[in-house]
Amino acid sequence: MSAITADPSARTTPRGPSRVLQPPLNVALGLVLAWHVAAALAFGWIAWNIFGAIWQLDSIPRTAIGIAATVGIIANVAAAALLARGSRRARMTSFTVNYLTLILLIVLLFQSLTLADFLDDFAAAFNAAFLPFIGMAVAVAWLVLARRIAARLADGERSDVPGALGATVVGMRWIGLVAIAVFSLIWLWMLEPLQLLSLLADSYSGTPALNTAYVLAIGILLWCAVTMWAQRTAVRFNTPADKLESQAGWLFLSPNLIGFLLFFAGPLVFSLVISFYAWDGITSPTFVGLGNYIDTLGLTVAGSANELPSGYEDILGAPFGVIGASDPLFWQSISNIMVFLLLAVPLAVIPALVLAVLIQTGYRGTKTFRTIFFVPAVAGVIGVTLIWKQMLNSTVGFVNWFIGWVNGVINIFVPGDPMPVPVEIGWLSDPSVALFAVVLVFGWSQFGFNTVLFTAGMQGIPKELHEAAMLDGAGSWRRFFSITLPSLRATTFFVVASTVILALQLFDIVYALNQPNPVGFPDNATLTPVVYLYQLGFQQDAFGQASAVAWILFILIFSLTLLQFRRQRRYAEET
Amino acid sequence: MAANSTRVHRTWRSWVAQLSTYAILLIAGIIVLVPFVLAFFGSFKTAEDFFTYPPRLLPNVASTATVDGEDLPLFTVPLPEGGTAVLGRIENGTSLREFIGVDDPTLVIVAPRESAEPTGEVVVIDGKDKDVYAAIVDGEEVLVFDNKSRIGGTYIDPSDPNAPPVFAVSSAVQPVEQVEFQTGNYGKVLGLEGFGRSLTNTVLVTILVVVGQVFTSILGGYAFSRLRFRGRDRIFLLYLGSIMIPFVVLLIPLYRLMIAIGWGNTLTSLVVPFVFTAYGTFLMRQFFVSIPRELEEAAVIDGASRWTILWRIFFPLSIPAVATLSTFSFLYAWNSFVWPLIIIDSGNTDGSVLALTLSVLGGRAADTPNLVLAGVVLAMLAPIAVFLLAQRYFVENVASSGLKG
Repeated sequence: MSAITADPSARTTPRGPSRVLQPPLNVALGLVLAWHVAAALAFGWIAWNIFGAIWQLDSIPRTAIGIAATVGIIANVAAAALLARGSRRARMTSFTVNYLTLILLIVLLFQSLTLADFLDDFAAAFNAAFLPFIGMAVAVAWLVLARRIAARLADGERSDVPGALGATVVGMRWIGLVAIAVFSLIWLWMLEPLQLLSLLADSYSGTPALNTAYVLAIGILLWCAVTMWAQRTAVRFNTPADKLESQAGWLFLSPNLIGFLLFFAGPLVFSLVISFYAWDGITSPTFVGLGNYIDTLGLTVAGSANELPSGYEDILGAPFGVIGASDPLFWQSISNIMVFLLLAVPLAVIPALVLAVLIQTGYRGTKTFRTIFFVPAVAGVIGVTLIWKQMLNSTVGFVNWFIGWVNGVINIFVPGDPMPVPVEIGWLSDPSVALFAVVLVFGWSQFGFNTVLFTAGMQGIPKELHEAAMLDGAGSWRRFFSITLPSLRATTFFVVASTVILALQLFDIVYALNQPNPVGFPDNATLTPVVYLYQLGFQQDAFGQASAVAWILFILIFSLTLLQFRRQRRYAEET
Repeated sequence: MAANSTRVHRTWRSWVAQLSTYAILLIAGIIVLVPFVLAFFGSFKTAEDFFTYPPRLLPNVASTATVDGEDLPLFTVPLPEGGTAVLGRIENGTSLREFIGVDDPTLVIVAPRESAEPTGEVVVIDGKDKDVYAAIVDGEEVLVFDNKSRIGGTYIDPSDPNAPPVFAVSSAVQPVEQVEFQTGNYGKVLGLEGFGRSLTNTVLVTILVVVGQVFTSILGGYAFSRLRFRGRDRIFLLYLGSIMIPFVVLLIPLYRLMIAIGWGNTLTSLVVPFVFTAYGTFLMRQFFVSIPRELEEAAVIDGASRWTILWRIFFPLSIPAVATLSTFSFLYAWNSFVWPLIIIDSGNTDGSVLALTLSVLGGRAADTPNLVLAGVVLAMLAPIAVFLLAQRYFVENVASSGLKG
């Protein structure tokens, strides 16, 4: 990587139009220093207004802005001081301070211009201009097709391409290009960009002074950051190549990392914290310690239902009396999901294993089936569930009709009490079978995915094993049980664990099957932990307790994942 | 494996094995495809067509015949003189009587009261007095008694409308139907409030999420694979760990965050949090690691910046990985349901996405399953098409990366 700094003179002289933006380095560094002083003063002014209580704000934004302003003062003063001393660290300190301030200001400008709402306005325009957009997409597909044909024709072996064919392909490309141009123009025109711009201008003029300040500061910060990043600055500050590399690493990672912290790590920590509070989302949270967890998990044993402490309901009879729970619905959801796991996981895994073996027989065309089996996993849970909802209709659904038809066939061959025809099982309304309907839909949509995982696992089995066994006269059954199955141990464990983890988060299927009935319909027979969490958090506004349920579920899932990891590692060590 | 088939003798056993392999795969394939086929044909049915038993595959509509400018629904009607005929119904709900032969209880005539002559006599059947009538059957007069009242229909022959009408109870007639595809269902569902809008919203959100994910993942993957910096491996481990954390845990805090910064109920909340993905970064990193360093060395010597190297050298080489990641994020964004369900207000039809609109439609329109299925087919077209186009990359990658993740 040292090659980059090997020839410093190559980039030190600015070219043509960028001369204005690239003044002599000493001048540029002086300007950056001036900016840091100005920024420190600006942050100081904000801090003055906050801590002097000149701006009347709520406590949370007040604290946040106060901290940000203080950090801003310290960081900018430090950068200015380092820069004034000509320290080696000045370059990166100044760059980091300016880069982070830049991102902060972009976010603030985004909020100030209410760009979040602007996307909805844009979506309306996008909707109005959808047809030319489709035209553009078709034209692009056309062009790709033309390119592929051209690439095929150019493929050496076909030197006898008739001129007419070549001309047709060239024509196709031109048609594609013209179509893209035309449709893009129509699209742009139909989007009414002026309308959209005027919307932006409206939100800009809401707080014009503030927005102008943001825009100006963003421009300056951008210039300062680029100046400090530039190679000539790196040369001036003698930044070694490995430092340059690690700075580039952080810069490349930064968009991803900032998003990760803001939308993943931050909320995760918040979720854990809030699970120790009682919070309705409106009034301020009250700390309850482990209260939410105890309220959710609480179990107790008593001689009879009457002897249970207050707040406990009996959920299960036992030889010694009854078991009471402080949250019977939670335990109902756990018992439902356990039954679901027992039924759905075998349904999603065992057929997958069998089918994977059949696909790997290598007969002609079996790979096509792998693609077909995969389709339910990509088609979208809601759509798939709605199809099944129609098929599971108790009176006119295909499932009951099919069962009735099978019963009719049985009645022909088996004497005795005839099986009922037609069958009217209330798959969606009868509490005793409602969970089976969910099992059916889940198993159907998951086994194809698992088949693919199994086939991948089988590709890792050395062929020699099978060949040697065949020479020893082992039949295909023998080979399946003695070679395939043991070699697939790790894969099987992975498939089972990932299916269990997916099944534990069951929500979409249940929700779509039950609409418009309340979740958990009928009679809480399909109440799963996530459905319960949804009920708590988004229908009863019990955010603290819902977070506790989320973490209990998370711990359950995480321990399974850990188990899987340890199994895999042990397996890897064995082999 | 192809070697097997040449080595193994083509005994009957191998034929049976091959045949049963195909049979089982075919049955499984049918089980997978049947719901899709049913949905496809169902989307062309009329709503009434769903409420017949037994359910049928093809969309049927009642046949009609035009008599005096009026469309009469056609039925197969049993004739009093035996046999059946296809007749048009001119009246439904005609009040009829059921006459039974006094001497011959197997003779049952269903007709209006006026069609038989009262004789004034009475017979006692099962302890009840029944009026006796004289009816004409095959030109002979037969004594019948009035058993009970029935409701039925009046049917005429469309080719001979002036011939005497035929009466029959509804359970005795079969509607005559023909296969007809209601292509208008698709227009209807697109015209439903919010459906067209949620379709274009989904397209927009999906495009933004895919582009954003690919962009941040390439940058992050490049940093993790090619640039050494302190803490890199620890952060990477953190990313890996985060893949295992179920989204459920984030539902509540992310929802509160969106509300707090004023993004609730906007499409932005469906895009921005999902632009940053640990999984995509991991995928791109794994791919970049496998690219030999020699390929970039020439560019490094030419003094190209890392940015240029990334986009001019790495990006074109990683098209398979980008295709996989794009397919993943496309399917994820297009089909995502739980998050839109909680963040988009149920009344906001302009800000909805397909999965959400479908679930609302599926819950509300129990009487129009045809429109629900048309909506389902429309929503499934794009993901299935993308999957089929990209499956060459996709299926293999699910297999390999799934095992690593």
